[in-house]
Amino acid sequence: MGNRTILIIDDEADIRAVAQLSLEINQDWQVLTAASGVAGLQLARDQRPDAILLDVMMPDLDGPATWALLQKDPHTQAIPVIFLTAKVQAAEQRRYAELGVKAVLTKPFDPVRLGDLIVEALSW
Amino acid sequence: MRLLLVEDDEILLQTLNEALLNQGYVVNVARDGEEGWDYANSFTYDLMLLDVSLPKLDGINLCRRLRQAQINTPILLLTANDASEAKVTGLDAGADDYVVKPCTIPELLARIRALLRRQSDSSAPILTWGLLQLNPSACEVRWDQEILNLSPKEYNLLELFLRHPRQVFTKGAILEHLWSFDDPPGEETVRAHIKGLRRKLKAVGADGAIETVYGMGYCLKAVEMVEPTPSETPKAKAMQSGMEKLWEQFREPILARLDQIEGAIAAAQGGNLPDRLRWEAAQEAHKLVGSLGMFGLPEGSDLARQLELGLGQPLTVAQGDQLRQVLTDLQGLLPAPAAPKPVTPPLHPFSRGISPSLSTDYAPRLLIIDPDLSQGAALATEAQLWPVVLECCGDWEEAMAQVKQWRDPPEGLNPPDVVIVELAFPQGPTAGLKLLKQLRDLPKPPLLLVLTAENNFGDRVAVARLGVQGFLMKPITAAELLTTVFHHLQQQRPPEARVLAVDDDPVLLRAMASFLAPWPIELQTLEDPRQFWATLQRTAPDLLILDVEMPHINGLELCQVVRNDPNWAQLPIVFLSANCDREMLQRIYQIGADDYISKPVSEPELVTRLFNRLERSRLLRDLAEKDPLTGVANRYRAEQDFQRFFDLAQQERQKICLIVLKVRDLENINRDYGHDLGDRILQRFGQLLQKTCSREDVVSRWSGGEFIIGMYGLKRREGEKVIRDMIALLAEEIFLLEGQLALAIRMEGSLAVYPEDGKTLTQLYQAGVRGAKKKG
Repeated sequence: MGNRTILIIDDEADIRAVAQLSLEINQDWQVLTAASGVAGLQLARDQRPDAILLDVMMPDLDGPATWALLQKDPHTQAIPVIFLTAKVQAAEQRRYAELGVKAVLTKPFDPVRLGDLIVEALSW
Repeated sequence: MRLLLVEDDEILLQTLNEALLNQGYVVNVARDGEEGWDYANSFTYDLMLLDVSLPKLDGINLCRRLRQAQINTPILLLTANDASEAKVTGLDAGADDYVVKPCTIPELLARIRALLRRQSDSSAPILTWGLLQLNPSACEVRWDQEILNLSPKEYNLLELFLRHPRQVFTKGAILEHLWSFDDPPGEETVRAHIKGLRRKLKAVGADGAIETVYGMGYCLKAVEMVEPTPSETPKAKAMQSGMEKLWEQFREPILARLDQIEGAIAAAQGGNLPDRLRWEAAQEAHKLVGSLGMFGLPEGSDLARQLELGLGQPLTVAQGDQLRQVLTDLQGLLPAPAAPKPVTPPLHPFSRGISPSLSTDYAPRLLIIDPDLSQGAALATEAQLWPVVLECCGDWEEAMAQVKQWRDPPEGLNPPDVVIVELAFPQGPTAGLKLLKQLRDLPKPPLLLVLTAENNFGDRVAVARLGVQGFLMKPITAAELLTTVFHHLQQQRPPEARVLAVDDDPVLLRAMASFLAPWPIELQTLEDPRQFWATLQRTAPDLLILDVEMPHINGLELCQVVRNDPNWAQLPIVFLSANCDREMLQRIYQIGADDYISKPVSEPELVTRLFNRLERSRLLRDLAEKDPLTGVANRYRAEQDFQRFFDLAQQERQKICLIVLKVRDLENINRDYGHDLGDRILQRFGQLLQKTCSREDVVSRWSGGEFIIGMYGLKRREGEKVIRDMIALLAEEIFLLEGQLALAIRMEGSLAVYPEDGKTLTQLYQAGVRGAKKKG
């Protein structure tokens, strides 16, 4: 699985911290975090992570908007994106999936299994 | 497990059907592609077996059609063609696996099991629950090596639960999974089989494996870890201690969220929960949903979700009581909060106080500081096409000296409006950053942009910290550069109108945002119509766009709500609808819409219609809400704005400053020099006040020579400073009279602060005027 780099974009500090801990310990991945869509876009462009975990509900630039901008940028459009949402409605999730994101993971996630879920979603 | 078999070869069909039934699968049979399509559309299957060559619609195309229809059931293709091309076509059409005929029945069954396994949550070939083991290839169930004698239906039931250990199955879902529709039993049959299965499990000691979920159905109980817990591995240990630390770190902010929810619920129980408070509490609950489960409190997430849903709509007192119960349960789950609670700063939707007045009348000055000015000529040519005054500077020392001067600029030597700085100078790699820092610390810092050939992340971070608004990469054409500059200037200009668009389709909302981006319109979008009221209050839009069809509350209902509220009865409303027949249009106009746009929305249509509507409503509103003499708000409008301030201030515990500015001796001026001069003074002061106040402030004239100004979130001391600044500004105005006589106008100002000086507009006004008299 090599040394992967994952970018987590979420405005909630606790979610970022837990996801980072989980992926660093369990998967030995390098983890970048961004607290807003704008900061995330910048990091994605500069660091080209192998995948992006993107929170749907954020102030200002939300997940879908950030995703759209990632898609627009030729430097980042190939990076697989996984949405992270606490919304449970299936329709909601389906709609995100239809946007073309690789997967939609629901919050709360199990910190122990987060890496496995990403591996599974991206067929790594 | 329910399977669909589509096969036209009658002999093969019978053989397969029998083999599958023997394995305990429920099988539906179709004999051509179209029939298969109908079945697939009518029932939920766990797997489909499709022959490639079928009458009417072949297996490949059927497969493609199913996938297009978002039916993602695993598909196993049966093909007589061993060519790899054929397999590729099949898999590309969306099949999960293929079997080349002729094949042995055991191979086929093994592949079916493999596919089902892939689909199920558990991918082990043998399904386990504690000591319980179900071996699908042998159709055998054991508990601690002892074989259980289950009926085929009991076996199927158990397999269903074991394959989907976290899923709750309703009786209906169980019926659909386990029975073919030729012999559909009633739901009581499910109960009977569950009972039988439970009895047999209990007999061997596997008690309580199948749980009843009250009001929903059944599910597999979470297994208690019998085997050594994985927490003994070093990774797990590191994880656990890490999580404990993080919980320590985040416990307080998480618990603080509960307080806000509690406040909202208390208000609901008291019968008075403002929408904004409710919305904010729902947001807090939403965040708890995401956090608690992560910290090992899944029940906490469930309860938080109930709170979020409950707070998603207006609450009756009884519903408030119910939510209180949920909250109490949730509080019971969490460790008691430690002593000091962190204060989370509330959101401030309003800017406060004065913003620098914008000089849009003349062209902005643009300064480029770059040691390499080879592009200068091209820039100068391009700049002639733009309303901009271009200046260039190639020397770092000179630029630094210049900036120093701007710190205390002599008359007529103000800093430019925009400065573009190259990062690298002969003086060193950080010379540009030094320059930027100096520029940023100016009393009136210009708009700062960076132009560089190095795409260095460290630089970007450093530059962003300095508050630089843009990072431009060389090479860049003169036209691109100026476009960017104006784009940034544009963003600094306040928008001319606010528009709120409510549509459950995020794609459309984003399209709208991009259509409107070049225009001076601030677009607020909302996907969930249940949050409408709070968003409306918060954004106070000049125009509302509503989708007709939305879940929960449709656009027509929202429109009626808006029209029924006197504060918003005048708000222009434009509908979006994919279905605009006569009847619908009539309906839309009847309930008070102003216009409609049919979907799909095109950019020119949207922009044209919005501007038409905004212009018309602005004209009408100006007539109704503006003081015709000075152009500031009239008393009617000011009352509305203050009411909005009061509502927000109460929720956010903010202060509001009400400032009364009075032209002294206006009666005497009118008497001595004529009403024309009096009017001119008021007009000029109205303009100045509007320019110096921000868009969010209330600037109004009620009568005579009195201006009433409202500023949200301003403390008394700040308010006093604002008054001094305003009086100083107005005192600079000199009005010429006939015969070269100059008249300086004296102003007096006074202040009242919400809530201590009064809680209503009248009280505040009285307090303000009284204060002035005392001082006067």
